[in-house]
Amino acid sequence: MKYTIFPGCLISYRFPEYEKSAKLILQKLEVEFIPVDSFSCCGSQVLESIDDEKMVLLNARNLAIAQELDIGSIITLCGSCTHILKKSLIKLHDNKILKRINKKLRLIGLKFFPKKKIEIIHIAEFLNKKEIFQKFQNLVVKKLEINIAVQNPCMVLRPSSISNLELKDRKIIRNLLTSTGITASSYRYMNRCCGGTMLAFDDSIAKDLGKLRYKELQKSGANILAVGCPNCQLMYSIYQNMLVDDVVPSIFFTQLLGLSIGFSQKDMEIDKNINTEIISKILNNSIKNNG
Amino acid sequence: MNECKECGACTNACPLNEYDENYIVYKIFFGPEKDFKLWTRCCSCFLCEENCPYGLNPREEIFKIRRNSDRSNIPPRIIKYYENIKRTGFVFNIDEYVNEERIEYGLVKLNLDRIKSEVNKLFNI
Repeated sequence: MKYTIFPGCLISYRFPEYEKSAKLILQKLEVEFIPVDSFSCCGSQVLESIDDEKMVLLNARNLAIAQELDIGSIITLCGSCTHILKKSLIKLHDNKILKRINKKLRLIGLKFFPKKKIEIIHIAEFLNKKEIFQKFQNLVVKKLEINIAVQNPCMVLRPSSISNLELKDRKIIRNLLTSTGITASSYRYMNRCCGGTMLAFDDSIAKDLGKLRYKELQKSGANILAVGCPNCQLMYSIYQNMLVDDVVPSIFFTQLLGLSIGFSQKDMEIDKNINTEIISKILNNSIKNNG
Repeated sequence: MNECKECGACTNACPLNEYDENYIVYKIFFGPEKDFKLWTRCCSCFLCEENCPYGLNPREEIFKIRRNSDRSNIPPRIIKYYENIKRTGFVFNIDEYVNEERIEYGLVKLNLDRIKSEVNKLFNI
């Protein structure tokens, strides 16, 4: 099975450390990885709010490019991308839509083949696949003595009709982290959405929603927040720093997993984080305790 | 479509109801279809759909109404992002500087020209 990563645009634009940490984990898992250089954005809720046929068209191009390279599994990193790609894939199984879309794709020499199997899977879902999870466990060499809270990427888990995930799958990120020995704290907004998409639609509302979350995060007792989506990271890094004094730093869960399987802080680009000083201090204290 | 029993489960679940009492999340089944607040009172988290005991999906209804609404109701930034997508294939400004950074991170360099030209053709630019 050939895999690729679909980074979407916010990760390229702001958070390449997420893509790098995910890619390094996949390489350590010896997954057959094919880099793709011509994916566009997924369009996100912007395109979906304005023209859903264009949403399907934009993503049919992405899917067709992957199919041309015999890629069977597209690993996503962002909640929006996961949802939009999965939704577009479902719509392309409608013959009428497929016909219209393929007519347009012909203009650029591409075609989408509904019978050619291709899956969209978020990195957290992928790492929870039985064989992969087992393989990952065998790679763990370091127990991070840190206390994390998790902000779940809402559009990865919901709605279950698109995600094919159930309520029991809510802990996919948390379980990955705790399986390496990391402690997890409860966080009131874990399953309730970070409010990140509001940044594009009305950023003053997003900031107000953010403030409620930052307060709860401080109450949780966690010293680091783990996220699985660049929208969440935007809300909890750049915006948290802007809006409160005492931040609980936020990091991509793949960066923590990478450290657990022996990658260095440099490999995991910890110093790319806006709160790198706080995070390094926490991690270095943890390593001291580990011996 | 009006099977909403006004049980309020969606309202309890909706993050935007912590912001104010617009209750867009169930009003969309009863209220006027041209309420411009539909653009600023949904964060697309699908908690409404998850909590609805009758299998309704207010979020999808909100997005349907957005797609049918007047262009004058769309927040200007969203229009700008939409234009970016059609023009470049990305919401954000992904340029060669971004590509240089990607290479530093050991990530594949994006073929921005190909992406732009193909997306332009698809969207008749």
